[in-house]
Amino acid sequence: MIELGRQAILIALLIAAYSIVMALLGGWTRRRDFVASAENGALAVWGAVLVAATILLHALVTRDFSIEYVAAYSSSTLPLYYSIAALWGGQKGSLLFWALILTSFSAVVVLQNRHRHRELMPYVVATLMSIALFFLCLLFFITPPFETLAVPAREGRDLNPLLQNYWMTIHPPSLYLGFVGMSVPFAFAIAALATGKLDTTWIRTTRRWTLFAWFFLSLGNLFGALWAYEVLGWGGYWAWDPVENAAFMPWLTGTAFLHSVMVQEKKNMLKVWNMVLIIMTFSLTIFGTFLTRSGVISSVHSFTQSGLGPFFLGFLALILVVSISLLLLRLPMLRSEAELDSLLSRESTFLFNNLILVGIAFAVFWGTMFPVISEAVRGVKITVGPPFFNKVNAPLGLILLFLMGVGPVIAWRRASWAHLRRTFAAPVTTGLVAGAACFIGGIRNYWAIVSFSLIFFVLATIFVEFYRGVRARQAMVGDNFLRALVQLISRNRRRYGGYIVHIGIVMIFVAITGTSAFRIEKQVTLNVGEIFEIGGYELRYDGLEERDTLHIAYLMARLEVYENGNHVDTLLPEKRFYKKPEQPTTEVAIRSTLGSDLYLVLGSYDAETRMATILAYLNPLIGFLYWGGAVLTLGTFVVILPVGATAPAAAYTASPIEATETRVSSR
Amino acid sequence: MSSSIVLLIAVLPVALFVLWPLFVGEGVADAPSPPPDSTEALENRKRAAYAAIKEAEFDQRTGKLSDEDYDSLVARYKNQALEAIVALQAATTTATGKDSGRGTKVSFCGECGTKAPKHGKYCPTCGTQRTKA
Repeated sequence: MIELGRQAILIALLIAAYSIVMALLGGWTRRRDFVASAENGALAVWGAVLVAATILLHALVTRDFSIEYVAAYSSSTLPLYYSIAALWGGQKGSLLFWALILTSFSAVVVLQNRHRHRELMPYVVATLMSIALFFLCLLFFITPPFETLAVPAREGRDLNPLLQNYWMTIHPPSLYLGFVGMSVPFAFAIAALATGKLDTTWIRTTRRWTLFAWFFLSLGNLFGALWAYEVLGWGGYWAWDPVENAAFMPWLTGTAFLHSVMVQEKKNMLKVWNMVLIIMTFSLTIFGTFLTRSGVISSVHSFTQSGLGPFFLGFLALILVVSISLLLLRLPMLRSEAELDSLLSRESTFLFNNLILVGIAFAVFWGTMFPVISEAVRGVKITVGPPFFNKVNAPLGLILLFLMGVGPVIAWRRASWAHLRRTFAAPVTTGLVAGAACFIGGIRNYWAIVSFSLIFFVLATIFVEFYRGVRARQAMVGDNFLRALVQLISRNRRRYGGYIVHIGIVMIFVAITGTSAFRIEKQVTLNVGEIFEIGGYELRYDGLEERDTLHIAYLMARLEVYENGNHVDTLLPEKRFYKKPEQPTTEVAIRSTLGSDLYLVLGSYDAETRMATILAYLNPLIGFLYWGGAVLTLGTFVVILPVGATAPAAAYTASPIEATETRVSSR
Repeated sequence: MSSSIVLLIAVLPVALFVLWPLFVGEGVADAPSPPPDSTEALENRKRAAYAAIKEAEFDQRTGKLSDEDYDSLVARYKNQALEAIVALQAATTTATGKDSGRGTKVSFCGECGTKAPKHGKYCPTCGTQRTKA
């Protein structure tokens, strides 16, 4: 079986190489049979990688400790779902998992486009198979997942306890789906450049793929934040750690791309910029992988023990050289056929939004790479901490929020001052009232006041958009409000689904503002029976409790939570002692309500006196992070799900155009 | 030993599957590509103009575009659509070697852009009712 796994990777590697050659030859000579063979090759590569991944998964589930990887990342007492998650818990397995997702996507692309985009497909296949070939080479030559131990281990070393958390089962797959998903629009972009078919075909074809990848990248980032929040025990969820940044940067450029492609579709503008954005986004996914796997930058959650850095760097250089050369080659063909009608238009708002998003991405990149850059230039490794990132990105984030409000209100092409005044009046008033209310309510953190004002401003613009749309439909068709609303959304799911996504993002802004401006922190050392207060709660410490299982030993501090004299909850922050790697971890206890989270961490303790140190945090509005994610998901589904066609409403139909006396010459 | 047999059994059909198109050799040399998408690009331009008109109508109805702006924008996009339609027709005529449009009245459906006989209330392609502009 193990041998078969190894051979499957070799076979996949050989066929991927064959597919690249045949696809390029087929594209060059226009031989349909060559391209068809290359496409079958892509399907075969997927099959072979699937076999390899299944064999490794089988070994993990059956706990075959003769395989080095299985012995290193699982144990006989590891629960089944973590044994499955161990597939992406270590370097080798995660690369195989990556290859599996990539080749699965490639197979879907091949099947989707059997009879479409025949000119693009040779280069799409060649690009996807080149990426696959890189990962397969790593899997075969550098980090083979099927290495066996000379003497089979009697017991595995277990999965890293920090990874033994339910987020482990969903965060990495989401992130990988997002990272790898970006390969598809990238491959189509390269194909468009290679063939010179530079109209919007590649964008329209990959729109769903881009959204799909963006959605999972969003979820991946969000899940990562929540995971850090629930596991790392410092009360926060985002610390600008290099690995967090690695996933955040492609999200930023991907978001910019999603917006700017609309301008190309509508106005035939920003063609070069869109190419640059997708190349940048894909490169950042590879760069992010390089960051987490090279050990160049130390981080709380990277695969440190690897020498993969140079390979990823080389691959990244190759990607950039090929993409930029193609881009330069086609530059004359990518000139815009239109220009900005007015600075007061949705196009220019999108352009600003793009600049801000890329600006944030650059700031994050700079901050992340600063230790490396400073070491290279001055010989001293200087790490910039969260204050740098917050200082730079907070104002940029607020500008972005503002633009999110302006974008939906302003019309494409041109908006007149009079109309701007009329449409902005209500949202601006709402924002100002919200700001004033914050001030009167006693908030003196001016960042928070600005942020809440903008949040209400954006929500008001979205509300106005829905309201006006519904009224327009009612006027046209005479439906009742609800029916008109449903019709409005279903007839333009891209626009209104997009607004729902915006609401989700605004909710995430609420959480960020609440937690960064109003967090309360307290550290207390308590004897049994002692009481302390935090943000309206009274907590009584009732001593330590112990529990023991085969896999883990637990030590919990019991705290009874009272609010206004009423008992509302019991919280048990714990220390865990994992038995296989003999490693302690801290498990937080959280009481979540709509308004805030009470977050407790068990610090040090004295086993004899039962005295314990508790770190308590009150995180206001953090629940909006979860709910924002849910709304974002809903919005993406509205946009992406192929439920019915977006048929144009009869009432919007333009009048037929008649060309009279047209003299058509056959020059 | 057994694993190499398994491997052989697995590899043969895979190789056959991958190489099959070469044996079948359907249309060894692909037909020369259709002219570099001039008609497709024109079609796209036409469709983009229609979409822009629809969007402008909706923007006007939702109060985001003044009547004056609306009129000038729609006039512009109708013009663009017309240009695309005329160019498309020229392309088709060139391709078929006929000059069917000389000196006659030609009408196009405003919904799908199909050239259609002047008579008839509905577009034969998409069924939209035709009114005189």
